[in-house]
Amino acid sequence: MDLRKVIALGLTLLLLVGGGWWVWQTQRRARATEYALEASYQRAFFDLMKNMENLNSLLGKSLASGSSGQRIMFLTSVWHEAENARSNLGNMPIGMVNMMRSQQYLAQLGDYCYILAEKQARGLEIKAEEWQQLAQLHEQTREIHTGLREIMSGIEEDGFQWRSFASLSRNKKLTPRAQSIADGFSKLDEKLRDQAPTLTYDGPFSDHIEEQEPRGLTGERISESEAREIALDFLDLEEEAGYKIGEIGKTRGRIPAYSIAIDREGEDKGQIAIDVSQQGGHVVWMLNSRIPREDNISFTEAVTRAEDFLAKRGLAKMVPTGTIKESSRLTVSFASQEDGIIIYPDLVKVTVALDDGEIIAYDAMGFLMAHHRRDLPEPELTPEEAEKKVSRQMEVQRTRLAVIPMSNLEEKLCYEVRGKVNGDTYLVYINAVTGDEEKILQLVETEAGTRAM
Amino acid sequence: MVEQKPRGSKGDHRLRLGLAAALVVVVLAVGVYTHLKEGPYGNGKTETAYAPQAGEPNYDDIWLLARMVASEARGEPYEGQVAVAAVIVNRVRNPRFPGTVAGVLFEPWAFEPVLNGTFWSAPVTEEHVRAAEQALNGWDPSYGSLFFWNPGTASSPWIWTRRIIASIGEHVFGL
Repeated sequence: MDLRKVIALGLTLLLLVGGGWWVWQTQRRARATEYALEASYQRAFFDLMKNMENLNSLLGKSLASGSSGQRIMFLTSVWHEAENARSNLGNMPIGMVNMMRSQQYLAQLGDYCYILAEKQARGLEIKAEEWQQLAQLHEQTREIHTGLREIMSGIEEDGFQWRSFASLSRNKKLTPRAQSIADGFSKLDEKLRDQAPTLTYDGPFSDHIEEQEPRGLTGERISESEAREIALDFLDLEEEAGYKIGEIGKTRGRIPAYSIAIDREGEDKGQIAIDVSQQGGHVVWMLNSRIPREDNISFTEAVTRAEDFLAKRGLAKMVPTGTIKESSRLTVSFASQEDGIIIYPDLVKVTVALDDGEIIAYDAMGFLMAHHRRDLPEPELTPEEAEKKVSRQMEVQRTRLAVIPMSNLEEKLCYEVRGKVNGDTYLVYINAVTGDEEKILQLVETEAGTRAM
Repeated sequence: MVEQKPRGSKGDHRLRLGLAAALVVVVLAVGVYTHLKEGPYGNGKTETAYAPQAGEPNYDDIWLLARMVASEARGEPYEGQVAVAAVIVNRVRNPRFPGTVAGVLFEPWAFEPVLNGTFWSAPVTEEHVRAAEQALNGWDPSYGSLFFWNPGTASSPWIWTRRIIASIGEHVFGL
C-alpha cells in the first residue's frame, strides 16, 4: 500500500477514536450531572414528606399536651420543622408559581406556633380562638400531607425523574407523567388559596404586615411640576446649570410617588434619581449613582454633614443611631426624638460620599411608613429598676428610654440598657411599663462600623 | 488498476494531508480542552470588584446580590440596579419565598441567569456592589415589589397578571 494511503487511514482512525472519546466523555459528564441533580431533587422531596409527617404529629401533640413546658417544646419544634419543610419545598423543581401559597402556609404555620410558644413561655394564657386556629392548622397540614402522598404514589411508579421538569424553564411541554405531578402540586397550592384561613397574629409573617399603610404621609396631593420643584430644592440644584430632567414617571406602591431622573453633565457627577410622594410632596428616597473612591473627610465630619443635610430639610430633631462604612461611603441611620425618647421606627438613612462630603443617597421610607403623633405611656419603672432586670453578668454602661418596633410592627416603650457581658456589647430592651425583656441586640464591631444583630 | 482521473500535483496532496491533520488536531484539542475545563461556566475566574474583608457580616449576601445585579440589571440605571437587588431582599422577607438570599436566587427556574450560567460569568463592577449594599441597607425603589420583568422579552403570560408598581429602565416591577 501506498504510504500516503496509510497516513490517510491512520489520520481517519485517529479522528474517529478522538471524536468518539470526546463524545463519550461529554456524555458521561452530562449523565453524572443529571444523576447528581436527580439525587438532590429526590432528597428534597423525601425530606419534605418527612417534615410533613413530623409536623402532623407535633401539631397533634401540642394540642394534646396538658403541660405548658412540654407544649412549648412541641410548638417550637413545629416552627423548626416548618422552616425545614419550606426550605425543602423551595428546592423542588416545580416552579415558584405553583408553590407560593404552600410556602406561605408553611411560613405562617411555623411563625404562628413560635408566637404561641413565646406566649406560653411568658406565662400568658392561650385563648380559645387560638386553640381553634391551631386545630384548624393541624387539619390543613394533614390534608397537605395526604396530597403529597398521592403525588408520591405517582413518583414511585416506574421511570419518573424530577429532572424531566427541566423543560419547565423553557415553557416546553412536559411528559404526561411529569405534567400530572406538576398538576398535583398546583392543585395543593390552589386548595390552600381557597381554604387556608387568613392569619392575623403577632408575628412577622402575619397577613396584616403586607397590608401596612403609611402613617407619615401628611398633606395635600401635589402636581408633577410641584414635585419637580421639591426635588430640585431638595438637591440644591436651583442655580446649577447643566442638568437635564427626564420624563417624570409615576409609581403605584404603598407610597405613590413621582419619579424624577436628573442627568448631570460632566465627569464624575453621577445621575440622580429621586422619588417625591404624590401626597404631601415628601422626598421618599434619592440615589446618586456616583462612586466615591477616596476617603478625604473624617468619620465625625461625615456624620455632621449628614445631620446638617437633614436639619436644612426640616428634620432637625433626628439623632444618629448607627453607621455603616462601605468603601468610601458612610451610611448613617437616624431616629426621631420626642421629649428625649429615641423613636427608632421613625427611620431615615443618609449616605455620605467620603471624598467630598456630598450626600449621595437618602431614604425616608421607614419614617414615612411609621411616623405619627404618638401618645406614649408613662413609664412605670425607673431607669434603676430597669437596670435590675437585665442579666446579673451585665456591666451596665448607659440606660435611656426608646420606642422600638416589634416584628409585628407594634411599637413598645422600653428602657434601652447598654452593657457588656464577657467583653461583648449588648442592647437589652426592658418594657418601661411591664418590665418584660422585649428584645436583645448584640453590637458587633466590624471594620465597616457597628452592626446590631 | 486503471487510473480514472488524472492525479493532482504533489503539492495538492500535501495540502489535503495537511488539512486532514489539522482537522484531527482541532478535534483532539477540543476534546482535551473540554476534558480539562472545570465545569460548564468557564474556569471560574471572573472579574470582580468586590474584595470583602474577613469577618465582615453580610458579605456573602452582598456577593450574591451583586452577581444578580450584574447578570440581570447590567446597563440599567443605578436606581434600577438597586431595585433588582431590593426585589430579592423583599422576597427573603416574604413568607411566599425562601428565607435566605441563596434560597431565593437558586429556587429552581426562578431566574434566567442562574439557568444559563451568566449569573457566574457576568463581570461585577463597583456599581453593582454598591447597588447590592444599598438594597441591603434598606433602599427600595421598587416599593416592596416581589417580581421584575422586561416587558419586551417576558415570555410567561402569568407574569402579566401581577400588579405593576414601578417602571425603571427596561424593567417593570410588581407584586
